Amino acid sequence: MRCPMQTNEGAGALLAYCSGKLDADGSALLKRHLEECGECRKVADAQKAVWSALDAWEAMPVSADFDRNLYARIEREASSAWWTRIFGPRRFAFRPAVPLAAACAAVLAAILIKPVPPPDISSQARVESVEIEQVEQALEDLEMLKQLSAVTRGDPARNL
Amino acid sequence: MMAVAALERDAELMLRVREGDDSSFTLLLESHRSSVIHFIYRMVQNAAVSEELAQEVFLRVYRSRATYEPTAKFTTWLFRIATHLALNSIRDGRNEKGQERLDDREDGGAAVQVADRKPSVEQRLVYETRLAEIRAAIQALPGKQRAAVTMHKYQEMDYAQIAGILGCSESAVKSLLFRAYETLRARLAHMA
Repeated sequence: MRCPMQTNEGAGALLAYCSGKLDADGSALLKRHLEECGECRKVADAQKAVWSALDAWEAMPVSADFDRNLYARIEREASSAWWTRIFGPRRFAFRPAVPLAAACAAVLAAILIKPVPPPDISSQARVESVEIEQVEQALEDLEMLKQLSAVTRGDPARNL
Repeated sequence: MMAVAALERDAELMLRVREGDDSSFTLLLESHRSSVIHFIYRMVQNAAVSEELAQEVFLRVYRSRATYEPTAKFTTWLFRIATHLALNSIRDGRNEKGQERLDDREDGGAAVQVADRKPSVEQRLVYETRLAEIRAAIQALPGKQRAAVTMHKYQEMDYAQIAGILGCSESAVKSLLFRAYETLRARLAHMA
């Protein structure tokens, strides 16, 4: 067998052998080679030590809050991007985004758009009647002045 | 066969998330939460940072759901995001000051338990020393070598998948791994 450490394929096979993942035929072949090749045996022993050492490094436990914190971040992101909340795909939990937006728009419209007041007909009629009364009074006053003028002039035509 | 079925299941779940089924996202989270956190932890060697980055990974997965296409294995995509964030974190040097000591672990280094007896002080010291050496050896590896070793050793990924995650060829992955293990052998072989 060609020395495994001389080729990438061989080095890969040696790695797999050291981690116990090489198939049975390959393992048997490599095992025989290792009995004869001191260099490869040294590498194999060192690699086994590396695997064993790496095995000893256990992973940290996942915190109990991980999921809760993740969902909170998702919710925060969803609520901060209002345009995606309204126009984007459905979010993690149901939110009445569209009807809420419609209600806000309606309130804003009600505040900003001022209605034109209808004309006040009764006051207009009142103004017109006042004007007529004033004209009539003015005509009566004028008539009275004429009569008074006639009296002061001694106008025989006028008989008081 | 089982692996292929699991792959299809993950992609199928993600497609359901794309259609608005958030319960499928929860299932994906439950399946891959630990492996992502552990991978990032071995990369950045800081528990708090690794959880924060792992949350960012799943946040990005969720954020991308509308445009998700199963062009690769789901785990390839997932770990591509995780590797990218971890390498950025390492590059930014966020973890150097925060590298935790064994005493800072929440479990108080419970992994040192021997049989059913509490470890002696000496055993605990030996364990801590070995662990510190292992962590230092991994940390000394360049980013991509560190990622390749972590994925190969702890996630048990094959060369093809690691290549897909790192965005390089299989032969490049083999070179990365062989160089990395050569370095680790030089530093850790005395632990045999």
